Amino acid sequence: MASAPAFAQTVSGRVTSSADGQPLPGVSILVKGTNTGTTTNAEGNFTVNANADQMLVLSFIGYATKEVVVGNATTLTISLDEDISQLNEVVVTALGIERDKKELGYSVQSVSGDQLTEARDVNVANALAGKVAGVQIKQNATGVGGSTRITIRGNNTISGSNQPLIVVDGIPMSNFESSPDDYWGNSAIDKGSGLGDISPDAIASISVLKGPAAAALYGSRAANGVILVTTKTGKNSPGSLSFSSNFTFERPMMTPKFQNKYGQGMGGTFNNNVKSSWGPEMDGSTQTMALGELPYSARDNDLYNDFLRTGTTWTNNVQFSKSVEDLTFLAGITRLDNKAVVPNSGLDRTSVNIRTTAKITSWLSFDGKMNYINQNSDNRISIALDPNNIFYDNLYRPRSVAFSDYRPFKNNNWKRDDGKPASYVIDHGNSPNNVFWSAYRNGNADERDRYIGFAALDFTITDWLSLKLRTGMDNYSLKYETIRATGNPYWEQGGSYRMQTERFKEINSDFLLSAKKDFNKIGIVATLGGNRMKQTISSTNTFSGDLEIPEQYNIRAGKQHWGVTELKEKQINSVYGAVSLSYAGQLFLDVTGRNDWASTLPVDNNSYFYPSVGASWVFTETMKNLGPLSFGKLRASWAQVGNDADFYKLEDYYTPEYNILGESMTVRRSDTRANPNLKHESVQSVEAGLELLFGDRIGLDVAWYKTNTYDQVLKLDIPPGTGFLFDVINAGNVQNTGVELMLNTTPVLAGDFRWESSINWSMNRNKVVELHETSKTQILSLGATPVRIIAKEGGSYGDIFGSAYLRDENGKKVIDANGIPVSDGVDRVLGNALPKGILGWSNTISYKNLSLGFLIDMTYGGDIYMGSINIGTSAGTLAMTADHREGGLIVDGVTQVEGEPNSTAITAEQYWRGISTIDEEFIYDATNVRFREFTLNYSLPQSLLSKTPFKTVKAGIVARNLFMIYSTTEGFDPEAGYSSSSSALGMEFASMPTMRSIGFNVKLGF
Amino acid sequence: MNMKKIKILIIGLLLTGVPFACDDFGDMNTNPNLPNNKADYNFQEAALGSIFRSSVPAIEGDDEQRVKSLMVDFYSQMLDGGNFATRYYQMDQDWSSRMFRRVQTGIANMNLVLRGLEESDPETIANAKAVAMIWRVWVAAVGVDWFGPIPFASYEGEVVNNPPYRSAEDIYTEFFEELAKANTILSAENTNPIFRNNRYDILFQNDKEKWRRFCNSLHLRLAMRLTEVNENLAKAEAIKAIEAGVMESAANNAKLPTANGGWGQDYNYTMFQISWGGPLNMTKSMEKLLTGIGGIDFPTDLKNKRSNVALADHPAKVDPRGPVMFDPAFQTGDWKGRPDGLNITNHPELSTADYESVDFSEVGFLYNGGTPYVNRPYDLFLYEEVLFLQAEAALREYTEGDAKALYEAGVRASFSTWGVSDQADAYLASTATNEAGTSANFDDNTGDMAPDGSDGNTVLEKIITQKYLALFPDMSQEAWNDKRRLNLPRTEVAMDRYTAIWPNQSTDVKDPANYIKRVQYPNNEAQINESEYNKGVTLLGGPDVVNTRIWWDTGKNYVTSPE
Repeated sequence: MASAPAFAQTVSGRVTSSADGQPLPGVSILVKGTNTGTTTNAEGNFTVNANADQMLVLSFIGYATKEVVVGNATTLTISLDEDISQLNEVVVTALGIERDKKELGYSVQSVSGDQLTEARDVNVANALAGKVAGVQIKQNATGVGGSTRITIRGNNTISGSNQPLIVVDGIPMSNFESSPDDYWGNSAIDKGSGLGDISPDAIASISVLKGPAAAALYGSRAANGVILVTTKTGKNSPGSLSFSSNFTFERPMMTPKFQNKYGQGMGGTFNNNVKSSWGPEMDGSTQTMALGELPYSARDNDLYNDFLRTGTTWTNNVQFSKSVEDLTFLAGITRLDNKAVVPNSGLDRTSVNIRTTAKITSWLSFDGKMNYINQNSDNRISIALDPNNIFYDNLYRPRSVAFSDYRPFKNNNWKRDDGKPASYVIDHGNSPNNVFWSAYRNGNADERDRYIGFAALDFTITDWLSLKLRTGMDNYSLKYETIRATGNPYWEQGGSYRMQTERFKEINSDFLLSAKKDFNKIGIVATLGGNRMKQTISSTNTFSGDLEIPEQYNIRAGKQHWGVTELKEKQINSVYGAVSLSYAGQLFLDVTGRNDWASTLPVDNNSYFYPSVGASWVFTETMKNLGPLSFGKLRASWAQVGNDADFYKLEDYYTPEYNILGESMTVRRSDTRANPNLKHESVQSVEAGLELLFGDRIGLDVAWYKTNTYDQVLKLDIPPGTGFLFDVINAGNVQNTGVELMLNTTPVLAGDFRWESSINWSMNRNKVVELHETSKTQILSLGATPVRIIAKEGGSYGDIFGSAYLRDENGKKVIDANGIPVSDGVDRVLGNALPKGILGWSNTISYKNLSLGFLIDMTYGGDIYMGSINIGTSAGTLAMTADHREGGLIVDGVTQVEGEPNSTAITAEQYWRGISTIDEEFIYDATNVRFREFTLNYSLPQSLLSKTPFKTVKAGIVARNLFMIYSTTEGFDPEAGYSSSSSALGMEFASMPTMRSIGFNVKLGF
Repeated sequence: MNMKKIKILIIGLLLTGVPFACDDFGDMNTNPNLPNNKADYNFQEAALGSIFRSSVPAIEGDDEQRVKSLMVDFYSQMLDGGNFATRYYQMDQDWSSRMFRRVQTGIANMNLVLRGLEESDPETIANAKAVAMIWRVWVAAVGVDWFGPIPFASYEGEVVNNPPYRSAEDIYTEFFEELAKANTILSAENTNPIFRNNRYDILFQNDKEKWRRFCNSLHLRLAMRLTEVNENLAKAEAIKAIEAGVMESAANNAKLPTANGGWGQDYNYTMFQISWGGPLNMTKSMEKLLTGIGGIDFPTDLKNKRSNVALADHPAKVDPRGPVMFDPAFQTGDWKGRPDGLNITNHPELSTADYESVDFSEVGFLYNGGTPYVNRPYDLFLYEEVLFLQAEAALREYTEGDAKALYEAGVRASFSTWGVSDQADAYLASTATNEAGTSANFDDNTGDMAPDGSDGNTVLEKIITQKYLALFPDMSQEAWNDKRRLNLPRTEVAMDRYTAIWPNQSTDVKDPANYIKRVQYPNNEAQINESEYNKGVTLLGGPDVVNTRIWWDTGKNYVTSPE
């Protein structure tokens, strides 16, 4: 630790960004070879004592480290280049430990907060789409505030969740999935998923830990990877106030084409009681329709223009921060107001975030955060086959019915004289057949209050040993009301009211002891930690039906009412340790181990241990002068992660019920057979990677991985002959193999003009290597669906199973005597729901203060059952059904009995209705390419700002989901599924269109 | 490190609670929300009491609509409605899997009850055990008559994890043994009640004798199922059942009480037709059977009770039960049946009036004093059926009973059920025939069963036609069973049978191959239980399709109607 004070001089200077000349606060400056150092202040200025022949090492997150000779100058002006390769990036890894990325033996990819706030989405998870290789983001087509499915490197488990663990500032956060919506809707409204509650304005960065090696220290729940969210702090802030505002308009990105020639009816005849458009050509004559004497013509019948409105989302954020000596403070408030495209629905969210850190003594510092989120949502849309799904109604509503036909019923609460909904058919069947009724009368509302926070103490015990103690919580309560209006057809005709509440609480307490010591070229970092996680979920569900007094929506009002309460608790205790060794900045080795004790496993077998090893070699440090290669690293890792089971699966329980007369109690056994011998499941993964940097213009990161999940806690379909429908067992081996590639380039760098382009590409292959000794197929889809999604031993997760055309030995369709293709009556694999590859291409082009960004992404391979096309063709509403209405359609194929070429001509109605149960016809290639994001931003130059109170002014135009570049699915988005749960993969069904949003961004800094 | 530092550190560590990480979780993983067998409660009794309402075929609305209203009612050609593909014998995988599940869960639940009861004093539980044995047969019989071979687990010995499929013959043999044993138990002097509390027995309120007669009537029903496949066994078991004592009057009827409780507790047909608004139509087959027979004038004061539309077109003469069973059409007031098994897509030449539900007669007994009859009890087994079973046994000379007297008593019992007893004498005397050529007069016949030159009026045709009408609508399962066993009564051939199976659309009513023979095993059984399923298909003796006959169905035809 020698220094030479005799010759020391005081050097001061200013550090700026080479890109925009803005001062950089918080840059770390070290006098090379000494312990002397400092950081720049808010104006980018610093002072340090150094000799003229010494070097200053300047490092800052996101910028290339620079070494500068002090020389004789007493004032230095140093500009730092942005590090586009990000290879020297410091990333947040497991347990919140910041590591130099080059040391890691596994793949981590980060996204900065700015990338999430520009072309923002109400659910921050959606903004990750296309930005991280190996990550698939699938948004539920349930409108604003709906849930999003995140999968990293494929699907590991067959019956459990495949979503990663979300960790915010070191504390796990519940990324709850709304109860999986089934195909029938059943009013299981999508109430959003957990990560979506976090305001993107509060986020500093997101790190994605892709494989078990990265996540090993997070234990049980990290088997599917971890998304680490780091929120902003007030560090290095001289006192700043910023305001940002974002306003966007939403309209459907793509819509299907409908025919406008034929109206309500069947067989070419008008009929006012059918939900189809197989009637005669619309001639404008007055007809007795179910809604009145009206012209038989295509009038205002376009749902997208005549019923839906332009949605708007307005987000405002105010943020204050200040740091004074040993204290930092940050407070942010974000308010979001959304008016959804579906009338009478929308969402608002208020989020308050307070963070403070304090260095109390030289050996003790404190860090604390509290984030409060309040979200209110009105009339979230119904999905799939739910009678109130307006997009379902739109597919079969006769083309001769206009939205204005309902107007006369508005003052009668959209009712007709008999108290039932005004409808375009005489008999309702199970649906209101009235989108106004669905939107204005059958309603729902939910309100969520969420508190996320932590308090941490850091003890510096000696200069090489420190201890961190931390307790954090995630706590939310949800209140959810559903109303079925009096007069509703089919279900709950007397009207009903349902109130559900849910309270979730998870407390994580941990300690982490860290030792760090360097011996010559060898560096050692050792950590030892422990964690206690306790989760408590309580819920109530109360219902009131058959309302004596119409329109009295409360629990007392119904003749029938009931209530159910539920409490679930679990706890996992853990001890873990990690050792990291480094040699001369070239070789790195990480070893971790963790032991968990889980309350949901049998008492005598609730403990499990799992290790990981990772190594990396920066070979450009060992072998210098490798031509254009300026940096090269090889990495490899092996890891195992264990996972516990769900609540209460060890014993059988009865569900008591009373019949309506209250005479006797009946008991129902669970459908699932308990398993007292359950054990933990285990995920094993190997990974290898290569990182290369050619100068500062090209960076490449390639990763290969193989992950196997063994002894999965499976909810296995079992033959009903057993008396149960499911077994909970440990079985199976599901393998995911994949390759990921990240390419960062700067194709053009000329003066003030800069074009940065990066590509994220990944492919994943899934194989169900082994399932169970007797049960070789697992059905993933829930309940009755047109096709079933299965996992079959020897096949892949997500195979789509359904009926196919009967074909002769030459593959020709067999046509029956009526001229209609025959279904072969045997279910077979028709495709697979999972994509073969995902590609994201993002670009930033900047010139002086102007910057333009766009993101195009592509999902290729994978199949989807297009339920919307099935409904819209069998109801004769889609444009593709307009031809051959009068007949003359001869299906290419052979006759069933004689095997001769088919010559029987049929009508379009016979054809489309005849093949509606042949699933093969509706399987489409899910490949699609879309223009995902566009941003155009302008920052006012300093020269102009100096005369104003503003420090920064930035304004821009932002857009998401601009348009579909390529898809085969006839105007429907193949990625708009009806549920984000794994059970609904591979099925599209009367989904809400994906919304295109276009708007403005303004950011002001004071 | 100074002491202050150490103290703060220790306090901090204590606050996190981590050092005590290895503590015992206690009862954390014991479900606080639901009871299990550790509770001080007799779950066997509750489980047995629960089974009646969750058993086939009378089950909660969701499943019943699918398996009963939209399958069995179509296959028996008693009712029609909507445009469901099951009408023309195309399978709906979800519906058949619901049925398969109901049967298997029913058997498993009864096995659990029976095994659970074993732990108690044999004398105390004997009667409860007999009821569980009877009900286990009841549930399994519906299953085997639907699918053919099914898994039928035993309640004795080691629990088999995945019970194998057993042949229909094997299962029927066990049925007879079980029912005989149950009869023996219930015949013994044992005053221990079946249930500790009468209200748990929603069928017979702890009336042991009624259970015994129900048991023997079921024994008779199952015995007569075997007339074509094993005449000797059918005869022996029928005699055994009758001698043990079958139902003796309508007081012995088995009916499942319903309640005005909405979903799954109402009388389901009321919910389907009135609440959900979908007419359950009379079929063309039913119309032909009811028209003309008995020579009684059609009542003209009839109207549709939902729409108040007055009677329009109707036949001149009708079976007096007909206008009680069926109302005139909702829209037109016509009293007529909807064509069976019509796939409208195949018939662009038809006008909507040829198939629209609202233009055909619909179920007519769903109002009681002007309000929806939501608490109509569900018929499980009626005295009249027992009389017709005995009449057939007498006709076949299994017993020495008087076929005519039994037949006429059966018709009278049914007339009483439908509230038209005053017309029974005239009806039974009449030689007027229905559109199948069958008259009600027992002596007006063209021979016992199917002699040459008959024209729809054999004694067997009379008995089965009357039995068919008496089974309407809750017991349509038995009507479908008779149709497969005897091809009786004469019903229309479904217009558009599933072309993958019936490429040639013959309309010969005398060819039993033109009707549906069974329900295909649900697809998911082939997926999740592949090896056992394959053995089941081998036992079935033919491909797993809807026209493969099950064991007791030998493809006989007893229809002698001219067309």
